[in-house]
Amino acid sequence: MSTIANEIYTVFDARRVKTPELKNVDLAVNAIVGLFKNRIPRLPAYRRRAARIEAMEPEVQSLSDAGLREEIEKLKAEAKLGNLDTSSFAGKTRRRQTDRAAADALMNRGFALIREASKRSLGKRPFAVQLMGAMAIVDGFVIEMATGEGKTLTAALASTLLAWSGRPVHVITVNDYLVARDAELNRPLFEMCGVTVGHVVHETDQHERLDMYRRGVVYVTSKELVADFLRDQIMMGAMRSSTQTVVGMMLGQSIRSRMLVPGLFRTIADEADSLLIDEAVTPLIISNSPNDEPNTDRYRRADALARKLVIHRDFTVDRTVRSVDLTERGKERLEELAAEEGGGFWAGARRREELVTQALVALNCFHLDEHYMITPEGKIVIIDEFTGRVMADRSWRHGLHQAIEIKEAQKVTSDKENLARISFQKFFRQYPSMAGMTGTVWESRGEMWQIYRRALVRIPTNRPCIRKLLPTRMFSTGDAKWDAVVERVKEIHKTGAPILIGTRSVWASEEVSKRLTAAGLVHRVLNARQDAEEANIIAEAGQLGRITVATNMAGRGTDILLGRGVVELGGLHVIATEPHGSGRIDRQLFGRAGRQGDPGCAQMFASIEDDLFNRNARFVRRFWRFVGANRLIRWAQWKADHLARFNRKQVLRADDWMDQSLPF
Amino acid sequence: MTLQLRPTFSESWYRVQSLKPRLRPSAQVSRQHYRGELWYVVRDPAANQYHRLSDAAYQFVGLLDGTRTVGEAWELVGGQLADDAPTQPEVIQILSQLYAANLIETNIPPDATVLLRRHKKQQLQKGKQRLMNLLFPRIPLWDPDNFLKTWRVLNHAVFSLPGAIIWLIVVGLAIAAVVPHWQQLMDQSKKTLFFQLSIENALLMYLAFAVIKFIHELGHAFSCRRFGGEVHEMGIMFLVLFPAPYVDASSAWSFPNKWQRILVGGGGMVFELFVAAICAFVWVWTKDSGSWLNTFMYNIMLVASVSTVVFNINPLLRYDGYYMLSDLLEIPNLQFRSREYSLSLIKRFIFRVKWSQPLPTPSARPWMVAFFATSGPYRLFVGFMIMILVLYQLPREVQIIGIFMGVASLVMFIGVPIFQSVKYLFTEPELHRKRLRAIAISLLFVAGLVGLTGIWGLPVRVRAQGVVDAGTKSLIYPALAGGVVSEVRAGDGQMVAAGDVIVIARNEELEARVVGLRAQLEGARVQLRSAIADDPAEVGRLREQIAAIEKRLETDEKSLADLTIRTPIAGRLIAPGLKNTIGTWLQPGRPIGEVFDESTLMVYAAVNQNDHGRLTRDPTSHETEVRLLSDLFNPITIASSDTFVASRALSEVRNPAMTVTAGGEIAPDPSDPSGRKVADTVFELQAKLPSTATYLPGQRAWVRVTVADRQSLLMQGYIKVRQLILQTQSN
Repeated sequence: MSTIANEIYTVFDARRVKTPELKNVDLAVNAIVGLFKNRIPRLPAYRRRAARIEAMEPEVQSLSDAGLREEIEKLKAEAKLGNLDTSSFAGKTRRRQTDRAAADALMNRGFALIREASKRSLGKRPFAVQLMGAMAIVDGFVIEMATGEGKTLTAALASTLLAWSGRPVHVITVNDYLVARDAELNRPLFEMCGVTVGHVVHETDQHERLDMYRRGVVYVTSKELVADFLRDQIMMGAMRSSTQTVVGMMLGQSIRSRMLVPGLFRTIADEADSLLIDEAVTPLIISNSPNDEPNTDRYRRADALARKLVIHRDFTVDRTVRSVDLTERGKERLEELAAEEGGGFWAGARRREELVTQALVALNCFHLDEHYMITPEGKIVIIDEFTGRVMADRSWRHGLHQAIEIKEAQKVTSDKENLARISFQKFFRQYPSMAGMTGTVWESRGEMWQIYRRALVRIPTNRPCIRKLLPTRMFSTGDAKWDAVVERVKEIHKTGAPILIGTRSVWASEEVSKRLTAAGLVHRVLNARQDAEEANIIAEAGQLGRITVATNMAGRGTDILLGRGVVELGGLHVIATEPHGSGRIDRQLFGRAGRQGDPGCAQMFASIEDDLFNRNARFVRRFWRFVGANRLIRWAQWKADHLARFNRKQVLRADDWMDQSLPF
Repeated sequence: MTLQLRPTFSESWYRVQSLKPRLRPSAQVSRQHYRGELWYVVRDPAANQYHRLSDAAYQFVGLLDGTRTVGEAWELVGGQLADDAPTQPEVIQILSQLYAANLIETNIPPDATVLLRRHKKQQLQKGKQRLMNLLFPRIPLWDPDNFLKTWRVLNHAVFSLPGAIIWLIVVGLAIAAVVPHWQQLMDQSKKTLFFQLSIENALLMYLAFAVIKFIHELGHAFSCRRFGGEVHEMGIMFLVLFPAPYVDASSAWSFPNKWQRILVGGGGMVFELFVAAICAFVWVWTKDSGSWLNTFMYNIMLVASVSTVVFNINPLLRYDGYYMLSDLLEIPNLQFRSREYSLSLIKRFIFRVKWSQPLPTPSARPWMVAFFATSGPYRLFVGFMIMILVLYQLPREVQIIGIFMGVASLVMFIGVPIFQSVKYLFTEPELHRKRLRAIAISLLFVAGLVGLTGIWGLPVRVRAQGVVDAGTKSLIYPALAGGVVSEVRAGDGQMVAAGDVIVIARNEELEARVVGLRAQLEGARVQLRSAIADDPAEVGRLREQIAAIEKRLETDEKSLADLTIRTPIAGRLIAPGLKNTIGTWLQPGRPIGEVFDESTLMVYAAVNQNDHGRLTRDPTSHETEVRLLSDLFNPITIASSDTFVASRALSEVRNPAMTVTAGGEIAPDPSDPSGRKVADTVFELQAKLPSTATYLPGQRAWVRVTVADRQSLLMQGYIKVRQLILQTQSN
């Protein structure tokens, strides 16, 4: 294939706009199709194929290392011809089916070789369930695999096979630590299978990135990948219009060599639910900081004005959507106050009210250590609500960040200017073929289908799960809940079993920590502030007598291995101290106990003062004794999820609208 | 009440910031004022696309010259207009709308895939339009622009002050000419509307419609051209399969002067009424001739006035009047915006939802609410009436079309709003936290509505058509012998007592026979007397002879007496033309008239079996009202004691006039030549008319019985619909 044709393909591919949102009948039909696609039993076929692969073991085992490599090269040649590609099969016509059977046979052989390579290079012998997962990934499904079942290896198996086709495979994991770890961990396997591997983390420099993205398998975080994609878009400038790009290339300007991400072909998303669903609502933005000094005075005066207004009388607060509305009275009062300040910028009602409203939002809807924290250098950093993680490079937009800086009496930074922006939903929809892995996604299968047209395959666990789920405990006040948590921790701690306490916010983890300290319990706290060490702390959380307090998703992707003697004590005890907005995330926390057939225990402690109920069940929560704790949680989570889903849809819709209305 | 929905910044600003767009060079801009606000209408003459821009938006768009970026223009306009300047989201909105209307071009060509998809979408829409075209096709036939230009001088003369004065004079004179003949006009209307709309008359009526509507459309075309608008399309469209002319005068939308726009909207009526006025003169001139010209003139007047009053000037339907009102009030897109604003009022004050869109100018608000409150129900009503009309008027073979249309309009007028409301209540995010309240209020409202229509009983009324007839009546037959009328003693319409002589006839042959027989008898008696004396043997024979003669004489004398025709009963004699029968031969067996006992005059109506059930449930407390065709506006109330319902079903009606073939309501049995047999059995309802006034037997009458027990509106409607369905099924 000539370079120019390849380039043109790449450029068009990069600008692929997936079918816009469906409406009415189309939507309904699609939803029904999705229902069926998610219900088709696919496991038996995979199980048969896994058995066939395992049956090849004696034969491939007998190959020498050189022989194995030779066999692999043969299959690689087939893959380059596209004979292993099943993503294009609709599996409808008879001809297609015979092709499919041929491809399956080749793939089975491929997996048998990769499995052998894994044994030789990593010393790991993939289980049947891992092979099944890898096959489902190659077929473009989102697979649900319980935590601790070896998703890392599954992804490695699948990405090896996919990379044989010669087009880069992006393996997306949740953080830089895992990116580096997984790439290094699996490197021997990739090398034995003739696949180059690279990884991109925050520190990787521009020059290195150019090389890394051209490797066969690229481990990368979504943030880095999307940012690099956007940087390419910015670089292309006016060339971002496809026609102009083609013209430019004909004039001999090679864009591809300068592009960081040379194309989006295949991707395997780890923790697909958080990546494709939870985080999808926040678009990734590339921005620059203008050099001009921010108008600190303006924000300061808005803050001062805002502090003079009285809640309920001058303004109302809706904490659910974090919005503030000025009442008529508040607007009049503001006008008077502004008149006292003496006109000028404050004479215009719209700008004045906008700035003061923003200051009010900063004062009333955003809280220190819950939504943001202050670094020792006096910087305001955002805490991600889902992960409890620090979002170091992010800032709120259009004056909100500044308003919060004023509120916390920190130095005011300048508002950033957008250069490019894309939502994760839109970005991942650009891949011609995408697969995902996650521990918990069944609840969101509808959305997965609707937005990404990905069906789900639930991979069974290798060994049955014997985790005990203790009954939810509900309390009328937050205080009572915390007391009960400490009591329970004391109780378990006496036996010596390790305990993991999950909290929803940094504030909550500090609250627990305070109370544990007061009760004389030695523990370790893992929250957003200690991102760097989290994997280590989490890994040790399974040791005898250990008490660990962690925000919900801290240390995701790291196994909690049980220490000596812990199994006899009943394994790890997980205590959730607050239900999360999404039931999936609660399940993930519980999933930390009882991995790979280990014993374990999980329990939810909740109070009706918890944020979830405060936002989504203000009325119903009063009757929790009548309704029942679990039902109340489910109800509130359903409502929260409904709202979140709507928000995500809005983001996508806004994106689509922009693409349709201003396709420049 | 100001609205704070205008954030200054947009996250998507970067997408447009560095664009260098400009209005297409071909775009034409004109200024218009709406409620004191200045607006600009940008028009692309090639594609006939429009877009309306506010003053601030136009100031911004005006700065875009193809060399300035959007960002620069925004900064500039922000410096000039401060708070009024368009915000970033507004700018994006403006640009996207202009782009959608194909009114701007930029330095960066748009994404090909999106363009392709847009093209596909347009194709799809065209397909939909084509489908709509099957129902309401529009066939352009003629570009009248050159024609209109040719008649420019005349056009300018028509739409001028002298033209207006002449128009007023002519129309005024026409009204003055017609008013004295008002009664005649009404009579003709009755004849046309209530009686047989014969095929010829229907054709004539349609011809009148076509002519007057063509003139109407020319009126729009001329007035549009008069003020400089181009008119390039004229043709035929089909309104419910009914061809009618149309004209595309949309270039008038960009006229800066609202009165010019209003005049274009009214131009059709101006022409139409002028022509109708001239027709009125001709009608008055020919009113007694009964010629087709007279009928045609009458038809034109009727079509022009009815269509003007019911459709064109009526602002509640989307015809001329609506656009005129919209221009007059300076509220463009009145219908849509009224609806939006009124609904947002409900949302705001009943559901307590925040304002979700900019509010209209305060002075426009009452108009919008008033328009919404009246036009909605009115459109529903008109839609329903049209549906009923179509359902009844269509020939049975194509009634399926009527049913299809009925279902379609039910879905459109009732189904869709209900679906949308439910969807809004359950999924609309703006109801977050207020959803329970909103659903509760809506349920209460629905419960109230159901209570009103479903529980609250209304009087049940049974309507039926019948004829006036007397309970006691007698036909008067002439004598069997026949005879020549010699004297007529009673006149048509005269009251007669029982035994009164009506007609005296003579039958000379009979008379002569009687005379002969009498003579024979006399002779025979003489012979008898002499035989008793002379020849006793002859006595027996002669006696027999006399008896025979006496018998014959008796018969003939009776026949003779019968020639004096008397009425057997008292009552009114109906014998048209009796006076003229003197000297004519009375054919035996043919009645010469009929006598009705007026104290026994009744209305006989045929009710269907369903209504019969209702009528018999509690017959003592019914209230019956009868309307006669001759006097529709003065109903006669009849006590329940004077109303009877037959308990046996009939397969014949009393009078063929009651069947559909003769203009009645009952479906006849098509195989019956007498026309009295009906398709479905009926029951006879008899209502005794009071003797205080005179009624003419055979008159058509409408009977309305208010049944004692009440039934809810919903129930009544349900029964009606079921009947309708059963009827169509059995047909």
